[in-house]
Amino acid sequence: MGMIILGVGDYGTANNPGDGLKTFALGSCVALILYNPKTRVAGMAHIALPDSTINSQRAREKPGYFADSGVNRLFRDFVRHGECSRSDLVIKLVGGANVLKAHSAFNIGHKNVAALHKELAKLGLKSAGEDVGGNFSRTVAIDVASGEVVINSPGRGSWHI
Amino acid sequence: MARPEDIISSVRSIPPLSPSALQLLSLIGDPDHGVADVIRVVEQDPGLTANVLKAVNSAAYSLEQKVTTLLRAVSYLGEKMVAAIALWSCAPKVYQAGLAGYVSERGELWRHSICTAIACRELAEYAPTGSVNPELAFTAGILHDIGKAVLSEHLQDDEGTLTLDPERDARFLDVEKIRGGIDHAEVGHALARHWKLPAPLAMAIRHHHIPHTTPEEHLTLVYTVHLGDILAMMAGAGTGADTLMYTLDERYTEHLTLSDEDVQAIFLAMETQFEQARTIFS
Repeated sequence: MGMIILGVGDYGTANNPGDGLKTFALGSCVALILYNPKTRVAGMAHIALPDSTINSQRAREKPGYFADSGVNRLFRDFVRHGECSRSDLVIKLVGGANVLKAHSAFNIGHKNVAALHKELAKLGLKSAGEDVGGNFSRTVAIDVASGEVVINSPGRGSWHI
Repeated sequence: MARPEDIISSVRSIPPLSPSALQLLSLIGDPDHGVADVIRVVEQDPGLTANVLKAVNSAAYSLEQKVTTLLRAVSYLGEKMVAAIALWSCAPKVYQAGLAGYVSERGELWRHSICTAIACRELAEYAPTGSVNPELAFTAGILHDIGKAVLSEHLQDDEGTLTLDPERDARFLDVEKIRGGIDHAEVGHALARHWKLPAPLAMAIRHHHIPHTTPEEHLTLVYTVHLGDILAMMAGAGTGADTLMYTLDERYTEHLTLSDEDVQAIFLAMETQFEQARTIFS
């Protein structure tokens, strides 16, 4: 019972009321968050980069690191807790920040969010809520019992989506 | 509120660097030095010798046989990591304290500094051949944010923290200027002078957020540190409230040639190499 902490490139699921999933300091990384309110199953992946083809070895070691391999693995883990109909599934995205004027190669936050939209679209899915972009870092947690997603950022307090 | 000149004067409360740390920083910037020079500096400092041997025998390197000589230790660690160990142990007021004015926990500035350093060394490979010494870029990455350790207390409110206004506060250099009358790069430059750091390192500290203002001979090094700092923040290895509240200077393309894939590969290398480095300093 407690908060399960996910590092960069980690993914995990939880279904014990009283548990939660949390990941720190997303920066340009994106937390992909899944929730089934009927069965109270939660899932989260801390996605760092959009495309696993830049390093296939890293993708094998830590599939949650990349948007393409991470979506696949998180859904596979999520449905181990039981099938979930599309209408029941709630998907949220948090993170994907950038520095100011981060056009071109340094806009990894934007690329991560775009890659996740693309991977979700392949499955015929889209997010129900997002708190992405901006130029500040976020920490995010989901509570298994309520499905509430709480975000906080140093100096900016906390809020939920 | 303290006046900017008082904040600059307060850098004198930070103890000087150890002679060995300063000599290592100077050596790294000297293209004619060899490993024997590095060992000569380390062996004159018993505390540093012990820390270097402890680091190489830590879990980070998983060596089968215990290393007992400085020659082998320096060979395994590399001189940049020896310099990092020297800085870590001789500047605890900078690297081993929390930054309440940045809402940053103890250890976060060191993590940010090491991640920036690793990114800088990787980025140096994308500058024209011979224009940036990767080892010097690494040490510049470790040192670039030293000013935050001095400025932090002047950014705190009465509750000992900092609260940003998301509507108004977009650039952290402006937040520092409003609250302290001076930004962390300017304070860092004062500390660099107090520490008598070599010129390239002092320039990297002073100009890492405004690299286009750097004197010509240090431009490529400073653009390297500018980008390394940004990559560390993007990876979530920032120093609290100011993380990502800075502006990318796109003129970096005049100094470093980087594709989208290159930037992502450096991002990945920084993360994996930090995992190894962190156990040395834990």
